[in-house]
Amino acid sequence: MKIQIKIVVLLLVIFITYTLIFSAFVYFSISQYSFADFYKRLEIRAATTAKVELDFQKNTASIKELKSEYLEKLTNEQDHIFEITSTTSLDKEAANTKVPVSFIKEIIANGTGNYQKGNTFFAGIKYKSGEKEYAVIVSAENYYNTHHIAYLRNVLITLILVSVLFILLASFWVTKKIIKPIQQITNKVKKIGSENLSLRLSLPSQNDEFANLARTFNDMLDRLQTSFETQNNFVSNASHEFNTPLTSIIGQADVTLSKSRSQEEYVESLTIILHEAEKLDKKVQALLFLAQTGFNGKSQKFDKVRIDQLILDVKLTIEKLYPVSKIHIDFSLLPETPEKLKVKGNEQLLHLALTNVVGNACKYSRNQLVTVSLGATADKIIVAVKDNGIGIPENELQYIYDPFFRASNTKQFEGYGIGLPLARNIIKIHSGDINVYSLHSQGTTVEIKLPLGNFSI
Amino acid sequence: MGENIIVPTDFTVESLFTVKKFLQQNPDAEVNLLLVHGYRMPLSITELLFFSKAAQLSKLAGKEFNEGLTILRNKYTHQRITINADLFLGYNQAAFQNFIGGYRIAKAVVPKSYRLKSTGDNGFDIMKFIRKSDLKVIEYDWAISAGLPEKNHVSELLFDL
Repeated sequence: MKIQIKIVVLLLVIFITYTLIFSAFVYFSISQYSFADFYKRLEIRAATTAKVELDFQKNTASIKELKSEYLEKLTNEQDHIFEITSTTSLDKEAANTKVPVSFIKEIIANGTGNYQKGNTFFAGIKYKSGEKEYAVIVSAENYYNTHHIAYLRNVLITLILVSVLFILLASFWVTKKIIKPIQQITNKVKKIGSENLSLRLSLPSQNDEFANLARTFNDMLDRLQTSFETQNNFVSNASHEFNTPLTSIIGQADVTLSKSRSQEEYVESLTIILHEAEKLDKKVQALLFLAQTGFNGKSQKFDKVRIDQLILDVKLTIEKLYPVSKIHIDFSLLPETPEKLKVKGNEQLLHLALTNVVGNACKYSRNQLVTVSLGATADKIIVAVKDNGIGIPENELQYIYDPFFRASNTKQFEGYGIGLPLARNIIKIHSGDINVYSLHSQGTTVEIKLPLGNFSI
Repeated sequence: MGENIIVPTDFTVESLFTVKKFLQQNPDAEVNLLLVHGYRMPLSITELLFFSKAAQLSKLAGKEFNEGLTILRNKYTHQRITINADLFLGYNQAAFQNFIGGYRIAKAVVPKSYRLKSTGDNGFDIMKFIRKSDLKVIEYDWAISAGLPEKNHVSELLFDL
């Protein structure tokens, strides 16, 4: 059964049950009340009749006039009066008034009594006039019961039917409204496939559960896309990343082997080779780690990373990769408290991301000065990398995170178009933001915001 | 209790450079910096009734400006330097004198060649009041460049101009 129908049926059942209980209660309490009220009226009439007939026989005319003027005539109103003596035959009187004997006995015993036969109501009282005792029985049809209660019943039934219709329409409308975002999400999700993993659900304007669902779904897509792209580009990434240390190792070995060297030179050379090989090893681990993210279901191992230290390491790495590069680290806004410098993250991955960003800055500014600056806000660390290079044409800025995309002005530079997407993936894994601001042929500033790790000292 | 210093602002990241330059040159000064922007009070009674300085301040100061401000605060976390923002709600020089009198301000740190912008319909630059007042004015200058890629983003503050 569709969830919409389920909700409608559920709402209907709840509503009908509630309305039935409500209406039944109203109907029965009103009808009970009308019975009690009618008996009261009959008793008053019985008392009046007794007074007229038995006590004030001389002024009967005037009292009858009063009675007819002020007391509304009830339907089929009938009065019966008989004297109660020891010789009175109760059976005979009962037959006369068409009531059971038990009713008369009740009047004699309690002083008052009520009895209902069909729609005719009987009320009787024991009345003492002078030395004699009388039983006065007044009977009448309950007009209120026959007409008003019936009318109330009809009104309630009509209302229930109308409101069932109303609740049916309303619940259809409400459920449609509630279900709509789900349908939109479903329709959008149907369009997402491996060929267009960059599609994202549009977030509803209200910040409700559906927005949360869409956000969660988008986050999931981010992770999926990250791992998908990483897997897809693994070979390219690996060759891109391994190229430089390998060149360095081969170059070093070549130079060393070109002629015989002293022992110190061999040691120095092997140290450099070892260092480069270690770097290579770190990168293999980082890339393998990145490739595995999202697929093996293991939670990522995040440790404390000090960003200022990381930036210094990145500078050293870049200076080895591009010896002519000029990197200026601006720590003038470095926060005073070291807790504001620590993020929760994977050092190798963050190193890889920053090396890519700073390396790009050096490369695309033809090794002009690149400034790396650091600042901490209340909950984020901001690393900004600024160069005065070729910039990115404005209309191409939106594609810079697409793997293998290279801006139109980068033809004379070597590259694969992988560094920035990789960096963005890593920053996203760390719940951070990366923004690229660029002006064509004036320079680019990359702003990386990482959430603080909230480590205390 | 440090020295109270007024710094005119227009809630752009660039306007924070006056604060940055001043603090860089006086890192150990015991100062309370008050970033002030002029704001004309609304004229309608209902608007006046519901006018809140705090709400107006948070409306004027954007996310990037606040981030810039927290960066500066984090740089100088020690107790001797405080940085706050306020609105000057007066119209004339006398009101301004009262304002700086109330805060016991004797010094102003202002940009030399940067021109503060007016924000919205009611915001205005308080430089003319500072110039006319008897405050001791210290000016800081930086190379103004309109063509910065990171213009109006918080990273603008991270680099020296």
